[in-house]
Amino acid sequence: MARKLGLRETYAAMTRGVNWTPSYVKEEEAFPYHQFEGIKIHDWDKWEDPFRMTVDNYWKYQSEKDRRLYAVLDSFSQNQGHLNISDGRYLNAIKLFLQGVTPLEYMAHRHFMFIARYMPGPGTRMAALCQSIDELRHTQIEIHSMSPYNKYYSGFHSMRKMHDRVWYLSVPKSYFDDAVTAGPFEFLTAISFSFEYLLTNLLFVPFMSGAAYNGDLPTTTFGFSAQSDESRHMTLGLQVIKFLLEQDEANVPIVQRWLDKWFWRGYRLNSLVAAMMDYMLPKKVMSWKEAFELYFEQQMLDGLFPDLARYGIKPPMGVEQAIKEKEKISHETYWALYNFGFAAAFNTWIPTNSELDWMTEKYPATFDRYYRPRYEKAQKIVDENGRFFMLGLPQLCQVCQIPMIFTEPDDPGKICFRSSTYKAEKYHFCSDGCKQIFDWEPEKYVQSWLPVHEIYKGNCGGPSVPEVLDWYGIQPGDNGEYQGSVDQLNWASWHKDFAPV
Amino acid sequence: MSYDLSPQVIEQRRLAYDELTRRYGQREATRYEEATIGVQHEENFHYRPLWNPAIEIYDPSMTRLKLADWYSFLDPRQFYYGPYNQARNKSMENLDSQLAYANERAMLDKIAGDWRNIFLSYLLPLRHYEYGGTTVMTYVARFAYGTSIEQCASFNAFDKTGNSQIITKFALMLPNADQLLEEGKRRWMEAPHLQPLRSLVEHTWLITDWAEAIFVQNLLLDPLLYTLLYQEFDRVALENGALAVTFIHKYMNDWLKDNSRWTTALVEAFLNDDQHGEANRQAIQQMLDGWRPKVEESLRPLGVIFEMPQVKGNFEASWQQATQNLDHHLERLGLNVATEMPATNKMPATLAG
Ligand SMILES: [Fe+2]
Ligand SMILES: [Fe+2]
Repeated sequence: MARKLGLRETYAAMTRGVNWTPSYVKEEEAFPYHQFEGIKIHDWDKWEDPFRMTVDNYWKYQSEKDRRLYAVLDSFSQNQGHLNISDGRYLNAIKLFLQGVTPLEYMAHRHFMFIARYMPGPGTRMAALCQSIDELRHTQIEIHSMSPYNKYYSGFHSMRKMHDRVWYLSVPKSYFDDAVTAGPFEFLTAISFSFEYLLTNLLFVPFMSGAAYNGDLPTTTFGFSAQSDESRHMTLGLQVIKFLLEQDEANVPIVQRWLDKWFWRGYRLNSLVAAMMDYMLPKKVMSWKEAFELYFEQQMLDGLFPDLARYGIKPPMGVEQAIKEKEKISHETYWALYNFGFAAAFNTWIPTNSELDWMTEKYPATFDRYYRPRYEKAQKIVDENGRFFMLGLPQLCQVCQIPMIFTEPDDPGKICFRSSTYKAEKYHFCSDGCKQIFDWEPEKYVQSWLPVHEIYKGNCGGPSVPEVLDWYGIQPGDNGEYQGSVDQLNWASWHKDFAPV
Repeated sequence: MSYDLSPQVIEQRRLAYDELTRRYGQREATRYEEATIGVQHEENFHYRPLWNPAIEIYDPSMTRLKLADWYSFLDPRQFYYGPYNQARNKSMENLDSQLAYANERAMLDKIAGDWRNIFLSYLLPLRHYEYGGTTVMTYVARFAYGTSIEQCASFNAFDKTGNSQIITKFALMLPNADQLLEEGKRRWMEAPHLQPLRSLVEHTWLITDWAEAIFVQNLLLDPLLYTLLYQEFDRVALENGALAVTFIHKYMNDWLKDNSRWTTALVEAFLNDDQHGEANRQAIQQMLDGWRPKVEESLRPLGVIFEMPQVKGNFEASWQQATQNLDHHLERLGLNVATEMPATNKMPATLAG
């Protein structure tokens, strides 16, 4: 009778040794991409699989999770569950998620297949294969969770097209395009470690707890359902970094450079999340500043980096600036969205008085001094002349693609501009971090598809605002002011007609 | 809080996402359609890949074939992640209960001693064959154009790893499994009757045209190999009383049937394209004509396996059956079947059935 194997041994038997080094074709031809970045791997077997999931177990757990998830979605649709959210304004956070994040899930799905194909180690390939189809799951459960909202609200109808075209969505798009066009080890450092480990709590927890606080059952449900996938991905991220650092000392400076780059890229991407957290959630979870302190300063800077110090890894470039900016970036970012809101596929609004007071409380050092006066002035303009928008086109940072809205780290009153000259051409940046990233790889970032440049070049439907909005796929009601919008009017009338029982 | 909705119905503003109403008009969409159509990014990519600056992140030129509309292909199984997992979990539960039954009835102990050697000659080395298939399909999943196609390849890639693990699972039920796995790999690497196959698999890793990669694996190699071993040799196993392994054979056979549905539909989509159908036909024909002799040569040496059991199998008849099945499939698709079959001893028609 066969000996009964434990989970660990079974997993090892299932995965290890199934690979082989080809001998009828050249190894470099079959696996051409894992060396050009300069990373040295001596022993792929040192790869500790962070999660030991065999394919049959995977099917079992995942199908059980899906059954529960879709049961919730079905009853949500049947029962007009959308009427139970805190306020119509809330859904703008979720529009941003569907337009900005869901397409990234899909990008991750496709590119983890690249890792599964081209990494020579079987453990790495298996982990990447699982993650790839997990990410397909995330793409699809998000599309399905938001589908019931699309039936009643603006801004949900053209996720992918908008992601490919609309100006503020080039921030997440360029971020992920940057990662998948990099070599495989940089991709893993960027996505598995930097995105899924270092910044994941800052990116996902605000959306998911925001959903829970604001009565958004579909988002809460897929968030919970994806959590166990995410914890596998986080473990993979940490494993990737430790593996690279342990394999060869020469890997350390390469990895450090990637951490520097991808922390800053991810942090800049997070400014959209910061604006969402502080401004778009009718029921607040915590402020951006609090989230940053908890999820980044405490968990990562105090928790993780001391652990990485023994390999010679330092906290990433720009951390000090990010700490200084925690008082500012949500306000600076939302103000830009408010100003350019006619060209966004979500609504913006002036915070209510009690929300302004909440921000005063959360940002005592800056809010009343720099930002409250803006909204008071904006309110005055609205009262006297109606809503205003900035109709010009802003200059964008060549790297992160956010308009030049951020201020000098030590002076919230002064916009920060940086520039570099490459091949006699001048390029502009929002920060020292983005300038440094450009200077490391100018030949990459000169390729950036900058939405504003493309409008000027005539590649976005035409020179006028209506033509560009049409090309973006923005329909009436998607954009502009929330007060008086289709969503707001519908929300008010549905809640008048259907009294709570 | 809940709302009393009985008196009035809230009017929907939209029936489905724009991508779908543009294509299908004003109707509700299925979850498969929502999860699939138009999901892949199409334009305004920011940077060229460092690892291959000649291509865009998603690039339709990664195959010679063309579709005027890349979403004219849809998976006939309508698999998106959810139903895919449900379906696979169900077949797995089935297999597990069969293996549990086999265990309970001590079927494995009853397999005669020479079967250990027979398993080492085909089943155990095929763990690696399946893994090699994952390598091909992960490539397709990354580089195929459009979500409807790559999604099928993604599931196919995961299935192949699953198939490899199912063989391992079976091996783990046998005595001295560690040795079996090790010796199985040694034979995959060294046994003469498996080297042409391993060589072919390694060469499929270098195919850059993803459609070609799909066709070589899913139209030629898998169908021939599965028919030979999991269908034809299955009868030999039964005749020799090796019952337990036939559950594995059956799983593999059922899987092949399911998996070939999407490949068949994909060929049809390419052939039926109004604009590119004829050019696609010529290209596909060329691919198949180029690969089929190599595939057949790589599989002929498996004939020795049919000689191993006490009650021997008739490899030539089985070969005839396998190639005939393949011919019929290709003919049904409207493709030509090569007239000359290299290395094949044609059998009289009466023996072939
Ligand atoms: Fe994800
Ligand atoms: Fe920037």
